[in-house]
Amino acid sequence: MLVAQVREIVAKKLETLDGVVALKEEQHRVAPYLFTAGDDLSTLVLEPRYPLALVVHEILKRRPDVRIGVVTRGCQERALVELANWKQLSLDQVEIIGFPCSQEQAEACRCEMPYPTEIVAGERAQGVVDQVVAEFRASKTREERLAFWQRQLGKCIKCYGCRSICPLCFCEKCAMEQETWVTRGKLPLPFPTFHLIKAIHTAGAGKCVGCHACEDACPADIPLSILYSLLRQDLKETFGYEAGAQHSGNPPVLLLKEQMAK
Amino acid sequence: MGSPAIEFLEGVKTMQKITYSNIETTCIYCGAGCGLNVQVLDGQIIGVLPSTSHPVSHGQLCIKGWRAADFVNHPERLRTPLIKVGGKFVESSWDEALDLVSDKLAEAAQAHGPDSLGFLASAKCGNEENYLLQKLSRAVVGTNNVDHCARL
Amino acid sequence: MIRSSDFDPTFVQEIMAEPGGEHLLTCWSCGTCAATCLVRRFDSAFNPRLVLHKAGLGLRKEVLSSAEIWQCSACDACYPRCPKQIHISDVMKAIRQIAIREGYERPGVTAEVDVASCIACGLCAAACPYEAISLEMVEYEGGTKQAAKVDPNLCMACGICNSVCLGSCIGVPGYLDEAVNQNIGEDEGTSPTMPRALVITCNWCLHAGSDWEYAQHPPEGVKVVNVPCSGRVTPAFVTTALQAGVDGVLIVGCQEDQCHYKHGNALEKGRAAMLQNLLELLGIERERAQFAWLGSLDRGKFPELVNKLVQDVQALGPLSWSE
Repeated sequence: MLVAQVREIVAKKLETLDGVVALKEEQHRVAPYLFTAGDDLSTLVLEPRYPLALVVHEILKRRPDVRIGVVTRGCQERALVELANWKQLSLDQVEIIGFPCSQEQAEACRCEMPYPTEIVAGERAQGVVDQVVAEFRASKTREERLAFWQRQLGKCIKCYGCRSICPLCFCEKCAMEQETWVTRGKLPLPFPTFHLIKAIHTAGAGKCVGCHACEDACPADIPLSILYSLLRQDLKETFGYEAGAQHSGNPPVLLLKEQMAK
Repeated sequence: MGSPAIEFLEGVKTMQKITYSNIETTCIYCGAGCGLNVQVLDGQIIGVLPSTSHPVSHGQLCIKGWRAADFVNHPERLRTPLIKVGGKFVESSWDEALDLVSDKLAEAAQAHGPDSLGFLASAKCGNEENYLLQKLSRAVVGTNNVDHCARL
Repeated sequence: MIRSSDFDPTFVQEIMAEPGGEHLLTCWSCGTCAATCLVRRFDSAFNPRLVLHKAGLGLRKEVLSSAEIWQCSACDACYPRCPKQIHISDVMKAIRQIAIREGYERPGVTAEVDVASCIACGLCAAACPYEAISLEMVEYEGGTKQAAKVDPNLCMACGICNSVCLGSCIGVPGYLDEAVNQNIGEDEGTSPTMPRALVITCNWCLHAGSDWEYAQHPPEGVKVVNVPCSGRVTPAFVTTALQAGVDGVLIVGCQEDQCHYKHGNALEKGRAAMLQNLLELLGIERERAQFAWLGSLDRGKFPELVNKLVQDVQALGPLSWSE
């Protein structure tokens, strides 16, 4: 069984690492935990999908002296690589213990690479081409699109969950909180600047890895990933950039593809 | 090394064995009762994560839930009772403060009846604290004059 | 009054010994560079011919303490036209090196960092066309931390750093977010029946005097806002405008290879395209966020662009997100 194999590997890794971040199940409750040498690993679980890169970053931000492992899927590995590109952590302090998502999960996430670069157990599922943007465009006229998003984004209660759970949102001064851009004290928002900023600053800046943590965390069930899928596709086509695909050590300056090559 | 690490390390001995866990609890701020995880790193609260296992909240929180643990270590958190003396707040002890409050409330209740007193609860207090306040109002003082800032 | 006793021949030799300054004395003061100079069109106090002439006479103190040696932005419009093929911006840089060595302070605004908010991600440093920004341990009120640091001798105050910084933790005073936003939001009492249009134009792409005139006095319903470089325009300016009731926005920048600050226009083109796609997905017409480039051969074409925006916006009607 996949999880049993992963537990074995984690036990071995704990001989040299200061700890391993993974999900722990206790009394039917699952939450992130840092397993350390001597811990009972029978509580380590792999489900549900969770933005563990966020937890790793929170830990390393405060304990730059440790070296920890993380049991993770493909998207979270890419999140960690992108965090390293934006100079928010050093990959020297992280060891990826990778496992693949199931085919159902790959379809649900519309994920092109539902596995990390290396996996310690299990089998890679087939990547899925993300068609949601094309399908959305094809199924609605402009007026229907406008009505759809007016309704969807109008449900927003500004809980900042999408921002708080995103592994790549690390700005101390967040543009979504600035009155310069976002009207304060008005719901629904008169114009979706709040959502546009989130989309442009993550997916539009080359940070979004498509992990869907934002959609999971939205109490209003807003289909945010449609917006982010569009921008991620744009970034790939126009600028040739994919978040977390390469450890360049630098955040991407989005000049047109021809210029990026220079 | 950025300043969050420097601040944190001042409270923790370096090279100390690292511990990190999430403690599930219920949000104190309203009647929904969303499940949240308090993140504890090396014995200190560093923030909150929504609980994905919770049957009510399903891994989601409102803004108050996300910030539910902020007050614990907030630099502006009151650490002693304050009594207003000559228009200014002065630090005092719990005994002094509680004696003052109970004396004044009892005085007013005796002189003008329990309904001369009013009790105002707050959405910034936890559910449990608001429960205690209304108990104090109704069962101890004997008045129904209790309300909540959300109704203003 | 200039006295011949002010002439210092060692100054001339020093400049010519500096890499880039070798051809100083080849200049015969024809003034072609001054006629071409884009900075001079914007600020008539700047005259590259005069700077080289004074340097050639050896007026050390006057040249080194002047603001003019810092104003050349190395767009190199003059270089191909100089009959003696002097790389004038290189001569300026050579003179600057001497000024830095002798401790002359560079006047004028440069970008400043809000160190407390900076998370040292390095994007501004990567985006700066002049490599004027580096990540270093910086002291501030809260202590010391890794943050962006601007070299005032290299900064050309284009504002590109501000537009890429996600937290707006760096920027050029005078062109910070709040100032530009306020400019955008200010209503000049336009007619309520006319659709509102906003044009954000860079300083350098208006090549004809008539373009400038038009920008100062746009038609009714149109507001024109200036920024140093179209690369300064962050997409949030467009959303702010649409939120404030503007029905269409046009961003004008310099053409392909003519950006005064090297690649500001390229950055803006990509961002504008991305914003258009995003708005379109939301059901907002692409024509409400337009981008155009004006080259030196497009003198006098600015009014045409603005008219197109106005026509497009009139045809689309007012944008109403919240009913």
